[in-house]
Amino acid sequence: MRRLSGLVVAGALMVLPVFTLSSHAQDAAQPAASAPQKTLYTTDTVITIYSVNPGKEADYEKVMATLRDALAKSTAPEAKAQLAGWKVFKSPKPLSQDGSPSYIHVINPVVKGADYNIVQIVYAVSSDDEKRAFYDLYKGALKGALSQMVGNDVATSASAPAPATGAQ
Amino acid sequence: MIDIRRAVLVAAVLTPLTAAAAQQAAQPAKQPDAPQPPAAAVAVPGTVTCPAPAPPATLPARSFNAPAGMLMIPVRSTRVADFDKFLGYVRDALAKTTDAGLREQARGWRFFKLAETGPNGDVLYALLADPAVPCVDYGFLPILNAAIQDAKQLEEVWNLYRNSVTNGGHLMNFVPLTDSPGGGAAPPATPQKR
Repeated sequence: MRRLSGLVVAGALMVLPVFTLSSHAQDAAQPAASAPQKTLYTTDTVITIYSVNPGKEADYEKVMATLRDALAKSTAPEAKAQLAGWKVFKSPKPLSQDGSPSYIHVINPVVKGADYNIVQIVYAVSSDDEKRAFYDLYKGALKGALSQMVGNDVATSASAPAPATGAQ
Repeated sequence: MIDIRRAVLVAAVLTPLTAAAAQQAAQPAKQPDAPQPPAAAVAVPGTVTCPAPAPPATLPARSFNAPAGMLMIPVRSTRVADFDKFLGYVRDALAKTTDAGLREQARGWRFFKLAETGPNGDVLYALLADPAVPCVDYGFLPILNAAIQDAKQLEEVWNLYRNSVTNGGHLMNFVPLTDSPGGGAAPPATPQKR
């Protein structure tokens, strides 16, 4: 596994810089009073890797817990589907060059047309004081986005050959 | 004079050799070092330490040690059709397998083709394993080997893979956050022996 971990870091270093920063990841950098910015996805799957400030892992995980609670409380018709298809993982090893802790969001399936802006999802069910506290917590914890990968399921792709008969 | 010089030369050569031989004879024969147990790895919370296999077996090179993970595979842009065809064979093999372990692995597999390209214009595929079966082989060849009996066909299929990827891919382990969206869905990682 030591060899693998080296590959992981090497792979991450190779792959990550080619992706653009996610607007989704910049949520926390937005002033609280700015106009709401929607984060919409059109692909089946989105995988976003975030870098968190060292020592702020607990704060970031609290942000994630708040997000989960907000989606659970939300009356938006798409919220439950968003909650069901959104998973957050922690990488056992940092995926960034600077060694900051890494968190991976896997959204599958994407709810088309739903807003995945974390701040706006939480704000929608928060009081003003809660909004400010959440903003400070999130801004203090999040270092930035390492990468965002969007893609479609190959199994449902038209280019995939038919199983069994096509394969034999 | 010649004899004396030769005698001095021989003595000069033999003296250290003899002394070394005497020193070696005085010491007990040195035994080869006994194999030492590997240093205990520091476990990362949420991951498992895969059990050491009995020699001569080795741990699979492509395995996860967490409840979920992802394998990124870079594919040459000119070989995307070949790789998609290869994945068709893999899916077919997984669909047909009667191996309980493989079926368990297959339940959590999803393949994605990413919209963005990687370095050198490579097309990136992601194999998301959620849940992953920790400590077992996620290599493609054993899966195909079990499904394709004809050696020539197996070679052809394997060449689709070999000639389309630029390297073996990069593996990442993921530990689910229990207190987050989707939290608690994945079971804790448990080492599997196969």
